[in-house]
Amino acid sequence: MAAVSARVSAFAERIGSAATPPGPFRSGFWRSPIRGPWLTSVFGLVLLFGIPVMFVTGVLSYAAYNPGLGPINDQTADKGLLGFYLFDWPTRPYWLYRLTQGLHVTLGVVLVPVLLAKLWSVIPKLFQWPPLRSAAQALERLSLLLLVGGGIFEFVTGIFNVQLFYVFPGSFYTLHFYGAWVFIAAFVVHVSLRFGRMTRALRSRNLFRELRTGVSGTRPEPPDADGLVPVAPAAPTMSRRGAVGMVGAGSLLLLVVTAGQSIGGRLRGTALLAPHDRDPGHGPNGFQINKTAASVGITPNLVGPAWRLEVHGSGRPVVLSREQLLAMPRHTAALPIACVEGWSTADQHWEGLRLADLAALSGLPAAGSVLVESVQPSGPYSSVMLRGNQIRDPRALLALRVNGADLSMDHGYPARVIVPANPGVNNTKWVHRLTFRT
Amino acid sequence: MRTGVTRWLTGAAGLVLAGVGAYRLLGVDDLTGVLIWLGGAVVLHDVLIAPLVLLIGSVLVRGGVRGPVRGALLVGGALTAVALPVLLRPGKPANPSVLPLDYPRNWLVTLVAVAVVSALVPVVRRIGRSRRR
Repeated sequence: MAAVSARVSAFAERIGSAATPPGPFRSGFWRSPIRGPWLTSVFGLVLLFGIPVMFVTGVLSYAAYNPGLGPINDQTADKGLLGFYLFDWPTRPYWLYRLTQGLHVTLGVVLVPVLLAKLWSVIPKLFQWPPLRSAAQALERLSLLLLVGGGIFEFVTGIFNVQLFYVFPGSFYTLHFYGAWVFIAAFVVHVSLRFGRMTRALRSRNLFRELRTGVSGTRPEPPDADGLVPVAPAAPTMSRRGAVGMVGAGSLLLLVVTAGQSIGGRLRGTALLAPHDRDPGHGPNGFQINKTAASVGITPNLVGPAWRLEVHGSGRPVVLSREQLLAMPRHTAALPIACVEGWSTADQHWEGLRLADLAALSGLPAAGSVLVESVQPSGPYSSVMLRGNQIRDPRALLALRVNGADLSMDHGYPARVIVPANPGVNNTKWVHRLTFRT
Repeated sequence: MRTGVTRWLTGAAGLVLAGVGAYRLLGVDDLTGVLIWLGGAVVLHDVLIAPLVLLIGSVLVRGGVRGPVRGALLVGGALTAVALPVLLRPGKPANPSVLPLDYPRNWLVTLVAVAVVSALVPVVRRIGRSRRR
């Protein structure tokens, strides 16, 4: 370690002894009088609370897909240790996924101005000269590369996916999951290195006095070891209050035009720039859809009178027509559809057969899992595995009707699964086979 | 000395963990695509967004433009950045339930709202000042 350190230092000395390049590498180039540890720390503090909330809601969403049930649910077969925390995703409270994922997506959008402001506040550090001073500093710069690269990667892929702009290379699920670990690891390194400096900087100025100080009273902070405070500050044209206020206003506006798709009701109309900002139709089946029957290749003859539900379990498979299913004891449940994209519907009134009753019918009342298959031609989400606790919840249904009417084609006619707190895409539509396993 | 050791340990542990994440990312089918996107994220910010913002900022300050105009640009810029995918997306959405609105129109409506609020800020300030007198 000492040898590496010495070699890096020698290398740094050689670069440092060369003349400092012009432009942003010169310390006199950066002149904003409000740049300094305090302002950076204010944005940093917001992210210090925001990013962990993003991470926790994100890994919860990953757990909600029940990747532990096998490759049908899991596109990250190589996750290894990164799946250490996985647990049986619960079915109560039934609005759990609606809350965690609505929070994840809305907060992610709202934090965009804060993230950009934080990067603006430290941009002189990108051009520090010499670029490498010691081995420890080289490691820190590497961690910053992962922090900035991983952070922007996560925000960009997340926002693109929410807006159904699938241009990224590969499955969103895989990219966003592994990218999150790169980002959070670099975030932990960064916090451990900078936390002390942040708290000192925050204590150095009084927030309430700052919020009362206009442009005319704005003075630069005293010179700092990190070189954030300019050596030759220009006259102030914006107060710190102004900078924080503008970033706050940007976040507030993004909150207003986004949150409605998760909160619903009248607020749905305020989600001016959200992809799911109004109900696509009227009547019992008029609520949100992500994939229509036509878009995934469901033709009327696949779900016509010849359609049958197969229930497999311990004995011979049971084959039932829709009429036979409707004649069985039906139950109701009021449950929302909540999507990984953050949007959700209000509670819909579903009516159908309990998965628990179907498990009993299959001869495996204590089934540990069920494979749900759709008539949908094979695609990444045409089948799903559900866990025992999801089968046994009395509100987990194979729904035949919704809001007092038969399911529409786009909502999964003749039969679909609806399970409390289950991510939307795992509530498989157009079901034709249930295979219960012990 | 102790902080030095802690730093090395957390730094090394964090980098190892980040390395695991990065290594797994490389397992994705389109390896060059992933590298371009990870590196591109840094390039996008450091080479495009940051210089553009700094340039506009410096032109505005030299032109004597400040206060609410800069606020409006900053807020409108953040909004535009987030809305870019729905604005630029070519073609029609797969079904009437997703992306159902006229997004360019909504984007313009929101920008007009930002402009109106920004224009009101100095008026409200002036009224507040004259009341205090």
